[in-house]
Amino acid sequence: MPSFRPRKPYKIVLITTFRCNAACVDCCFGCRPDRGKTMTIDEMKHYVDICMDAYPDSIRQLDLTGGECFLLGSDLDEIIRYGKDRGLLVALVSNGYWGKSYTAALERILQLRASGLNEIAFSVGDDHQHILPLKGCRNAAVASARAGYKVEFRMETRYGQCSVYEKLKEDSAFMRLVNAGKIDIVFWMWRKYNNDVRHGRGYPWHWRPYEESKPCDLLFKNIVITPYGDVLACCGIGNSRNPHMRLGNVWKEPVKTIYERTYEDILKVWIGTDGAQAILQYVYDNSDIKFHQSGNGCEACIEVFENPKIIPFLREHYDDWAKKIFFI
Amino acid sequence: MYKDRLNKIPQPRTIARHYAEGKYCDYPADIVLSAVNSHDYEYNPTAIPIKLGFIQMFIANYKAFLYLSEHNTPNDTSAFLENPNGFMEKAGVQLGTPFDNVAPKIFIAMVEKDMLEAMRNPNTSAVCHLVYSSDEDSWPKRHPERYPKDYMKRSTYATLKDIPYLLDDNIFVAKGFNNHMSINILHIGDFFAEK
Repeated sequence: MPSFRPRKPYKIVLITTFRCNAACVDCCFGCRPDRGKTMTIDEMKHYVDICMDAYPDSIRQLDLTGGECFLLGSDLDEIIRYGKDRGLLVALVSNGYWGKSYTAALERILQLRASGLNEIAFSVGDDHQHILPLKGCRNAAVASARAGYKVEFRMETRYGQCSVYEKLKEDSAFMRLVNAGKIDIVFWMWRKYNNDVRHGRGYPWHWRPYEESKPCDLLFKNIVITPYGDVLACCGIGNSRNPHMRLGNVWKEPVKTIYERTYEDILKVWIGTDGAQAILQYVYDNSDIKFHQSGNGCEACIEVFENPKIIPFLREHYDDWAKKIFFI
Repeated sequence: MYKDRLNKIPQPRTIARHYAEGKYCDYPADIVLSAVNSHDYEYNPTAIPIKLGFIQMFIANYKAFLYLSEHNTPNDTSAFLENPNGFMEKAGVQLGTPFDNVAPKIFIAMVEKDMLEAMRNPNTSAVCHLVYSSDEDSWPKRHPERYPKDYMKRSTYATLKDIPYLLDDNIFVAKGFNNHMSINILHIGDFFAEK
């Protein structure tokens, strides 16, 4: 099958586990404390090895995520050490549950620093905090910042509101680190996902995509590996639910073959060059297809793949849009 | 507005089948991927494959054309039409991309004697003259078939892996063709395109 010339990836993203103690109702992976496959340490090392063997001169970073990767226990320290020994910059994302006290958080983060951890990010919001106390994540973030990390603190917003941030604004120690630039606050819009509950949603309508489209920067950069050994095309939300984002399984084929398969899909290349919003705009301008959602980034991408009318429409009008996008 | 309700999770086999059919599976990741990995369906992640037009198909598979130009007996051409990819594999000709359903028929038309002569003629407009000839029994009269215009006239992609977007005339000159093959192909593309 013809393929565009691939760009080499620069990052390995290991979704180390689908288990998480936060059990958010709207988790994009649907992680729960009582279910979810977890990578063994040998598997994690194997995934790092095969990626490094395939792209030794381009891969620079190892990201560990989940689920909650601190549930890996001592395996977390070991994979960080292993990544560092292979010359990689190692980063992770956590819900910060392990900061039960400031002292405990500081002790844990110093252990990880000794193992070679380079970057840390925290993910919090109302959906987490109805199960995990905010204090834990706050302690973990403050301890990490004081241990010398530039901490990324991701907070969900709903309808422009962020109750977690309102609480944290009253925490002077936390805010001092924010003002000193040691904790970087990042807001992102929470979205409903169908896990145990299938959410209601609006009827589809002829929804004009009004925002300016941005090229997707989550495609064509990372080798994203799940606990099952599947390679996903992107590390965006909802990726595992989308059959067009699962490129293959490393236990069946070489990782290079799987990763480069992304470039056989002209739709993904379009998303990577113009953004999914641009695709919705094209569909809006040239058809009567109605959308459930619009927006920029993952929301628009999910609509492109989830709406059963869009891909058949694009296949049918291939030459019309391909001429505008890909040919001079 | 639809209401919230219990997300009824189908059987793993059903999830895997939907996944193989390219349907968005709105269930927790662990459940979806566990189902997918425990059933051996044909999963295809490519939503819309890249479509090559005839011109780039020719550029990708010019070696097949060169081979056919020297092996164009009726037996060869019928064997090629029957199984183009297998025929070339057997002949040891490396293809840039597998043939589609249309290109082999045009390749065969291009290796007919009068067309090959025109392509080898130092007069670089010989192919143009042949293609628009109105003589009885001439090459165009033997080829009334036409193919979709989008396919025949589709531009070439500049950034494909292992497939160039321009034809190198020198390769053909070395094999005795004139130095206008890239133009000749445009004439042929134009000829076979539906009006």
